[in-house]
This record gives sequence, structure tokens and C-alpha cells, in this order.
Amino acid sequence: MRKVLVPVDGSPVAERAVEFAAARASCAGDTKLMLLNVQQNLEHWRKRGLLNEQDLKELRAHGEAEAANARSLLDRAGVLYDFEIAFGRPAEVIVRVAREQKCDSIVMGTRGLGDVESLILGSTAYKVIQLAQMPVTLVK
Amino acid sequence: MAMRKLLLPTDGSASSLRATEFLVRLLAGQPAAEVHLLHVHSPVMAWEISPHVTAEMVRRFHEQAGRDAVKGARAMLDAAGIPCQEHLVSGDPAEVIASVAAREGVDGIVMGTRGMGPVKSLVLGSVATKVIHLADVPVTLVK
Repeated sequence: MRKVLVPVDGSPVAERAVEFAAARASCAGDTKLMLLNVQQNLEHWRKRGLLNEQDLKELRAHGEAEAANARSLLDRAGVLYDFEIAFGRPAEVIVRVAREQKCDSIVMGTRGLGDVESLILGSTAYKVIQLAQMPVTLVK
Repeated sequence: MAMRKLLLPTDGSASSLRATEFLVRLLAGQPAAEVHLLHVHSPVMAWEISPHVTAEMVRRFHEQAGRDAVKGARAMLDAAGIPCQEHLVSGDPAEVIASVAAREGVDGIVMGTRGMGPVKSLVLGSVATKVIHLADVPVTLVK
């Protein structure tokens, strides 16, 4: 079975990437998507020096909210997927999870939340292309 | 959304052959798959042409160079039984890639991150960067 990692941050571009990955998966068959949300806003625990249960819960709720649209899209399309929330720097985490999960490719938006509109490639996409050994599909 | 028509720009480089491998895996078992294999060559500048070189010789040279560039990819697609159409076009590579993608109505572009250009240290070659900028469809980059 093919495995495709799709990072989601709740941005419209990321949702278009999910739509594209879902369409490609339905056509190719025998494909599972790995939906990944990365929480990088760890200011709370940086200040305190540790991450308590409450912080973790908040971050998870945040991740769930950011992935909600993508998940309902995949549920409606009947595409097989796993969902995971991870913590850290987005590009590094995306590539690490893709490698650990033995994904064949990564499908993602050219720009995410917080990237400047006029950029062709956002910083996360650029870094993922740099770090990932597997093919990366960029969706506008 | 159908996902069966893909554009594969190739220059015969190792990274464009890996892009072909990826595309073959992606399309394996899809009966309606169709690949547009594209090779772009630079236009000939007037100062490059000596009085002894005819337009016909230039045309034949490009045709041969183009065939050499697509040969490897073509063989892999043929072996996988994926129908493909060849395009040999002259012009700016990224602009040609984006315009052929639009004209043929492909669902995506699959290409190497770096071609045979001189700069190997870049994460993304200038052609790939410009294609991402110009193309309306998703672009898959293969190392």
C-alpha cells in the first residue's frame, strides 16, 4: 500500500492539497493518506520550562480544530487516512514523520499560515523540499 | 477530479529519470493514464549560426538532441505500458512547461528538482522554481 503524507494547518491552501491528495488516492487506489498537524506554538512551556497536561490539551485541541475541515473532506470522499498531531518545527517534523511512517511522497500547499502571500514558496515548503528524500507535490 | 493526465518534462538527467520512476509507480494499474513527455531546448541565437549551418541542420540537431533526452523516460513508460505523447519544443523551459501543461489540460506536473544546469548546490533549480510560480496545477518535485 502506498502512503502519502499530507500536512494540514487549517489554511485554504492546505485544504486544496488534501483535496488533490484525496483525488489522486482514489484514482490510484491502494493508497492511505497520513494527515499530520504540527503544533509549533510552544511559548507556554518555553516560559515555564515544561509542558503540563493543560498545555498539551490546549495544543491538541488547536491541532484538532486546524485539521477538522480536512478530515471531514476525507470522510466524505471515503478516503482511507490516519491522523496525527505532532509538536515542533513544522518542516523538520513533517520530514521526520514521513520517513518514520515510510511514506512514498508528501503532498502539501506551497504556502501555509503565516507565510507571506507574495512568496512563491513558503518557508516550510521550501525546507521540506530541502530535507525530504521522497517526492514532494506542491499545491497552490 | 480525474488524475490521469500528467506532464513529464525531461532532459535526460538522473533526477528526471527518478521523476519518471515515481510517475510509473503512481500510474501503475490506471488504465486511462496518459503522459505528456516534454523536452524543451533553448532557441538558437542568431550569433550561434554560421553561414554554413542551414535551418534544416539546426532543426535536425534539436530533434536528435530532444530524442536523446526523452529516450530513457520513453523506454520506462513503454515498459510500463503507459501511453505517452512526445513534445519537443523550443523556448524558455519553465514557460514552455507551464504553457504545455495548460494547453493539454494535465492534472499535474512531475519533474526533477534539478536538471542538467550548472548549479548543483541549489535546493531547487531555477526551472523548477519558475514552474511552481507559473503553473496552475500541482507540481511534484523528485530528487
